[in-house]
Amino acid sequence: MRGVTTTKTRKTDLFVSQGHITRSDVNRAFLLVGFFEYGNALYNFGQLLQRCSTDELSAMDQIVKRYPEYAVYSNLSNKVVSGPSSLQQTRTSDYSQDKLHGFAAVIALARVEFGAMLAGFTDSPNPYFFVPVHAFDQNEFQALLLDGAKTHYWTLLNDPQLKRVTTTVPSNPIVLAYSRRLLTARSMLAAATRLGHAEYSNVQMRELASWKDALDSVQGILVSNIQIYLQDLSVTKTKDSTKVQEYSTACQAMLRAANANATSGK
Amino acid sequence: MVRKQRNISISGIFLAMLIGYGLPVAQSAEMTPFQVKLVQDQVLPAYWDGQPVDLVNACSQLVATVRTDTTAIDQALRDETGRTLQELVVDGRMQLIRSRFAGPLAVPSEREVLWVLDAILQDHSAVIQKINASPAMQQDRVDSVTSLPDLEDMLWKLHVIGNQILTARQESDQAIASARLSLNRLAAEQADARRQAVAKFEALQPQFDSLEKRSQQQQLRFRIKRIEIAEHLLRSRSSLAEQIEAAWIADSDGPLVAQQLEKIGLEANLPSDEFASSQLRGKVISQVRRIRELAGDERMEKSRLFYDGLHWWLRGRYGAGAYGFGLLKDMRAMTSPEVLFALYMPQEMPIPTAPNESSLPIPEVDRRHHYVWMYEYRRAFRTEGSKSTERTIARQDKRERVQLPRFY
Repeated sequence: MRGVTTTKTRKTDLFVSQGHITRSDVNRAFLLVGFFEYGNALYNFGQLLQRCSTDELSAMDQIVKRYPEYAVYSNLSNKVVSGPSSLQQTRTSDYSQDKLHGFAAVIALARVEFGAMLAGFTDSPNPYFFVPVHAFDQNEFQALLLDGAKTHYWTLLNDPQLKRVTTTVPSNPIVLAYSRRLLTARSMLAAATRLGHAEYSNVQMRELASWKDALDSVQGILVSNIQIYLQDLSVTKTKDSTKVQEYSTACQAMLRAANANATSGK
Repeated sequence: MVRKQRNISISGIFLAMLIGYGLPVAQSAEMTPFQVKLVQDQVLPAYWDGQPVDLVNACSQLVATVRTDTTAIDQALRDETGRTLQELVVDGRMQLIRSRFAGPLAVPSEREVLWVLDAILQDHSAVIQKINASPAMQQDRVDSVTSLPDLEDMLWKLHVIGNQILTARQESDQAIASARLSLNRLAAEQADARRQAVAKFEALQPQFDSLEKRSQQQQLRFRIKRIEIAEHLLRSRSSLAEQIEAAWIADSDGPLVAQQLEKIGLEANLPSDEFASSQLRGKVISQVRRIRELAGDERMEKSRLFYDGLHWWLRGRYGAGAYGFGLLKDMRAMTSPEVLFALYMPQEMPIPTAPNESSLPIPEVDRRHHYVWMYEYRRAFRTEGSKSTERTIARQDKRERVQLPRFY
């Protein structure tokens, strides 16, 4: 039902024990609206994908289609497309063909949103595959992942601030924020490539590879800057030690996440 | 779905409304050059740009320039906007009240205060009328609704009605409290006008009480009916989708209805009360048990996983936290399950818009991953209008504000 029934939080914390999320990571990510929610949704959907027959999943799809609030639009990257690309969908003002409406789209969106939070805020090595891929929603998952990767890449490409950030001292939190943004973008791109490699043409694969190289090199600069900053911190005493310590912990967490991302991307 | 009602913070604007001020005023059948300039340079651009703050500030200045007769201004505004000065003031201020705006705003004159109070009263009267006319509130509709989707629709309407009543009560409380403040500092005529407004607000309260009770009774009737239909569906050759729904109804409505009937039975003064009969409760419990048997444990479990999962998904998709433009929860979410769960949910279920369809997209955050990267460790933002303070909640120490740009 749409919400007229009272649902207790009986699944609370169940999903936490899955995957590679450490307690400290989870605490941090719990502040994000959607982490706890999509995580619990995915926990349930993952079990359904394992246990339900095709007919049962199809019946659930019928139920979801009855309610307009479950519609999800894809190809949001069309709004930020930059230059010619073999990966760009035919540009049209009609978004009705991009409307995904059904149980598969619901699961796919939860996978992408939750995965992006895992990628940005934890050191989970396979953030988008928290729940094993299933034929039922694979197409939708692939579409939303690639759309997300394209959006992040093109937006970063057009971001006038990015160049300045690469030369900013990491004591400025904007470096941490952009590093996280790159983590999200790179992990999404890696997952989209991994999931859809059989469907991409050679030209598309080459373009995806060039995007990866570009994102990797920027992330490398930021990671290197953060490492130097942390080394400097270790030999410098500051007055506001608690505040700096807190920030340096966040930087270290970021480096761990970047490391996990790099390892899983190989 | 458990929803946390948006706590509409309108005290700021109401309090601001209480501080009246005097300005030199003109009374003329024609507009003064100053008024013409104000309308052309400020009021109309703000109206056309859809900027309620600028509109309210400009209109407030305009109101201060006339004593009683706004005919000439009304005519000029109507020609350009189709609205009078009073309508523009009320629209702008009401929009800001409902969007919880608490930033700097022109202090309203007593006349504007009364206009707004009157607008809220009219709005509440309209809400009462609308709720009364809703098909979901008509007892005779219970028998005519016979399908699960229609029943779901009725229950959803009642859920929204419950939220409307709650919101109206909050607004009433704020309006009454504000109208009563500083009464002795006002002229007798103005104080009387405020007392009358308070009396009107108070007169609406019993009507809201009655609507609330009727709404709860209707919910109970529809749920009992839904359990009955669910049992019937499982007995007959229903589709797989219907079986999944029926199983969920036993799970969700069953305990809720049994609990409410028991409570009513204990509290009922009259044995003839529609819901007080122990037979009814026994019947519902037996129907729910039967549904569980017919559906089987496996289907019950799958149905539970499915609907619980959808419930969580909706919260992820449309929920808003208290901080970081709704993207973040309170810092206590890391330690408290209650705070972790609490979210602001929309009063009515949103219908997503296509990306190019509206300048106010639904949901506002099309993808969370477009924005959450901006969030810094142990930092939270609280923005109220143009005033912004940033705090680390756990320590309450102020930090600098960081302006977050939109993603695109």
